[in-house]
Amino acid sequence: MKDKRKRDKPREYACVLAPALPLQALVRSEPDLTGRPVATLSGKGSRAVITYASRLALNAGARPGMTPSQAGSIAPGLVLRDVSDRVLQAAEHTLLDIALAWSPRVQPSKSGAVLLDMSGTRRMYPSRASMCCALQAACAKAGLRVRVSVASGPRIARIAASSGRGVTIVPHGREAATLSPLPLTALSPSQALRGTLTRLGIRTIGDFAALNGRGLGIRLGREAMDLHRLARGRDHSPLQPVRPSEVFEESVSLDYTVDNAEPLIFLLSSCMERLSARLEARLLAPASLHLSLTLDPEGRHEIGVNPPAPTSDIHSLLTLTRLALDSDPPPLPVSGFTLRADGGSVSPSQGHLFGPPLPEPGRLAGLLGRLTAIAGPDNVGSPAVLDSHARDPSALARFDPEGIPGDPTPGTRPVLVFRRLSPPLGVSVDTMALVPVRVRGPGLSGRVIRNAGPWYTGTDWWTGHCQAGALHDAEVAGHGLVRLWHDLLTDRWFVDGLYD
Amino acid sequence: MGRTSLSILSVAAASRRGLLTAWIDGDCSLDPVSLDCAGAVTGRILWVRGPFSFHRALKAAEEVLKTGGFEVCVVRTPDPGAVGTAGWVRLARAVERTRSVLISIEHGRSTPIPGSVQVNLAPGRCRWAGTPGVSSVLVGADVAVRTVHGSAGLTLDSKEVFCKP
Repeated sequence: MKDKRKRDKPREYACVLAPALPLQALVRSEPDLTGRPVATLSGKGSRAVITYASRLALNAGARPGMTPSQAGSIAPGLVLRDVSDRVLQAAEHTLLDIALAWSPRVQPSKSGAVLLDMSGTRRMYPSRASMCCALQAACAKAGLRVRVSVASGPRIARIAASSGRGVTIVPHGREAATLSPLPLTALSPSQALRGTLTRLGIRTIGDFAALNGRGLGIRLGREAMDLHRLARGRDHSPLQPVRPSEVFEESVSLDYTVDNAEPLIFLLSSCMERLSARLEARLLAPASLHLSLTLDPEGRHEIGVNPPAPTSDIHSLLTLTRLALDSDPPPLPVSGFTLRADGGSVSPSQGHLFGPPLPEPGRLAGLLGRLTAIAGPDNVGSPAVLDSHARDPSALARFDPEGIPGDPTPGTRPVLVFRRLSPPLGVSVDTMALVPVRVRGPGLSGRVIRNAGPWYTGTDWWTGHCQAGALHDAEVAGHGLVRLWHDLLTDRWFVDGLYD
Repeated sequence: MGRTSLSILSVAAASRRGLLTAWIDGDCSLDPVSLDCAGAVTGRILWVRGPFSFHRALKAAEEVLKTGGFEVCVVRTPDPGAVGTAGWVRLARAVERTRSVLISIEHGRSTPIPGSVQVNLAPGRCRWAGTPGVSSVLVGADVAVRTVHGSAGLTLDSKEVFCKP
């Protein structure tokens, strides 16, 4: 009984189809092409022909199949572009990433379509139509215009998306009626079968479904039998889910070169927004960025950007990228780039119930990114003390506060703390029996009133970065308490800092 | 003398209570060993290490205050006077909208800002133990503390504190 219920449960599949995906991928990668007549080319040299044309290009007279010279003579302002594989792949991956936010079982299909198994997701949205609209909105946010359909089988959903406009819902049990008025070509039959059926006067799917199925296989073959079942609304083909890709990459190829940072940053900003939207669909944020610049006439230039925490704050990421570009500028003009992001999850940690409130993890990650943009990379974190006898045993650790309750013990006694001078101030010191008696240096000169030390320390002789010296706490007349460091390797004196 | 000690003690006390604090270290002078000795929970301290100008420090402090959740924010820069009164007022307005405490460490007389409290610290006598020239140990130092109303200039409190290293 249980098995029967499971068998009878209606299957539901969605198809997200981006029509003219190469054209959309091109406009998506170069937003300045929006609002201009654009057409994509396939083939090289004299064999190049138009494959897709935008609405403005079609209005101007350009048609798929025309050569560039034909199209150019009809529509003088037409922009003709090749679409690189990377740009197209980025658009396909975007579609897949968005689909994965709706269902864990997705299958990429040909011609810019993605099939989704929607079983078990009925309660997520009030209706299937609203779910489809949300899918469309997510794709639009990522720069893709799509059609969405829902049906009981993946192939029916695919046909409905190809033939419909916007959102198409094929009701359960009405599959044959929905497909019936569509032309036979919607089933994508082979050339031979299409020719045979056309000669028989069959023009629509409804005409084909009306044929008697008995003996169809013997007369027209296995393909005809399969398509006949599909035409009658019976689609039991399985979905072949793919493992989600962990590579988040966006590419831009230019037909001009860029030789300074400003236009490059402008192009990167839209690229980062798209990448961030893709990662957001997978509940991730950029943890590190890798920018590969294509140089003109040849060569590549690689740049890495590592924010202190995964963040979707585009402004911070752009500032960090600008800093990285300033410190390591490309040696030649840039004719394109590929931006790859490693996704990291924004810390899901929640504050302790009895602990003090912590900033929301997303806001904190954004703050760390912005502060890194201000202070520079590797300058934001938590202070940490190293277990070392080094002259400055401090380091910068990752700032990752825990939401645990604090210790309510009262404050400690007043302490005299040390303030470092950065860099340490080089001074000359007069000594008497190894005890400093006078300090002379820029802005810090005077008699040593009293001194504590020396305290000898030596470390890191095993690494080759040996430190050996003597520390003195000295009270210098007119300057208070200072810490002197006598470098025994170079016999030089430094003021490391002041007691403040 | 005493400015860094006071700031570090404030940060240490807040971090021990489980609160987040930030140290905008424009002149790269913070000593984590001193923080540790003062009993601070260093994992709850956000250290923005310089060196950078006061304008950048101001921007970093504004970002910290805008995000919220930080109980104490300490700003220390090499040349705080360069920003003028307008910058301070802007920072004061940013603090007003939060529950945070902003501590600005300055050398010399600071700009009076309405709503602020100035803590003037003057070095006192250094105390030593042992025999001079033979074996000496630093015991501590006296610091004279005077709390002044930010804009009115009235002395609110005055006392001498002994600080141990």
